[in-house]
Amino acid sequence: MARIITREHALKIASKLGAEVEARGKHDMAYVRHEGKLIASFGIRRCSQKDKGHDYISKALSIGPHDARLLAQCPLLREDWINILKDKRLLKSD
Amino acid sequence: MANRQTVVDEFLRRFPERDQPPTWQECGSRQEIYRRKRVVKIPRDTGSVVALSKAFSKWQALAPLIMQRVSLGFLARRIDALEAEVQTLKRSAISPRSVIVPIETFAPYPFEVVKPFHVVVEPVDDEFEANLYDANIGASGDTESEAIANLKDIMVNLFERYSKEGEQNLGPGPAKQWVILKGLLNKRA
Repeated sequence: MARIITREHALKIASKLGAEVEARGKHDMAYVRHEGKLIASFGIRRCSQKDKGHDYISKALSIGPHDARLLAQCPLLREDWINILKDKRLLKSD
Repeated sequence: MANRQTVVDEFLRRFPERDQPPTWQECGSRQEIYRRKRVVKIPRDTGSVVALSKAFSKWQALAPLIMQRVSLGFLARRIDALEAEVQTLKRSAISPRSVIVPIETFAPYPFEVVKPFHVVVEPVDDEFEANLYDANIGASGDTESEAIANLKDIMVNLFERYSKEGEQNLGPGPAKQWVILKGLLNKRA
């Protein structure tokens, strides 16, 4: 299995989702809120190497590795991700 | 002992009109009968005998080459198949596979395991990823043990955060994680 999400991607995802990042233990914990509720959380390894693997983040966000990569890069927006969660009934629809 | 040509010559001299096998009376012994029976089947025409002999000697010369080519082709195909099989076996033997690791302690964190549980550790490139699939919690590390340690770290962080946050502020995903985490670990008093 190839590495798809690196530490750099993880940081971009946290920033794109407007996550609250908290330094705890060995990780920077990212907490994502939507309408006041905590809807996702994941840990980002604290290290200097940007290419460290973070493929598990896609599972924490309930999306595939490919979508997680798109989220880190430009194409997928926070709204798109929210819609994906709604489609999967992991969030209540408006 | 007479060679084949001598026997043919002798038979043709003795029975010039015969093209049938010799009778018992015409033969001295069983060995002689056997030899003559074989000899009778050879055409009388000396030219044919020579031609047959030549053809036979050519076949004798060609046979090893043909056999060699046939067996080389066969061997090449067999070696290809075996090489492919060896590569497959090598890959499955060398590449580490997923392992299921029991978790029985959260030391040095001030947490205790409510009931032992298992996590899956799998290789990802040159790193490892530990996952608690039930709760959708994962972590990676340079080694299997580092990945497990990182997973424990994330589980502890989430436990503390979710307990502070309160159940009413958790979305469906974190709420499910919280229920699972509460069933697996507990903060020491």
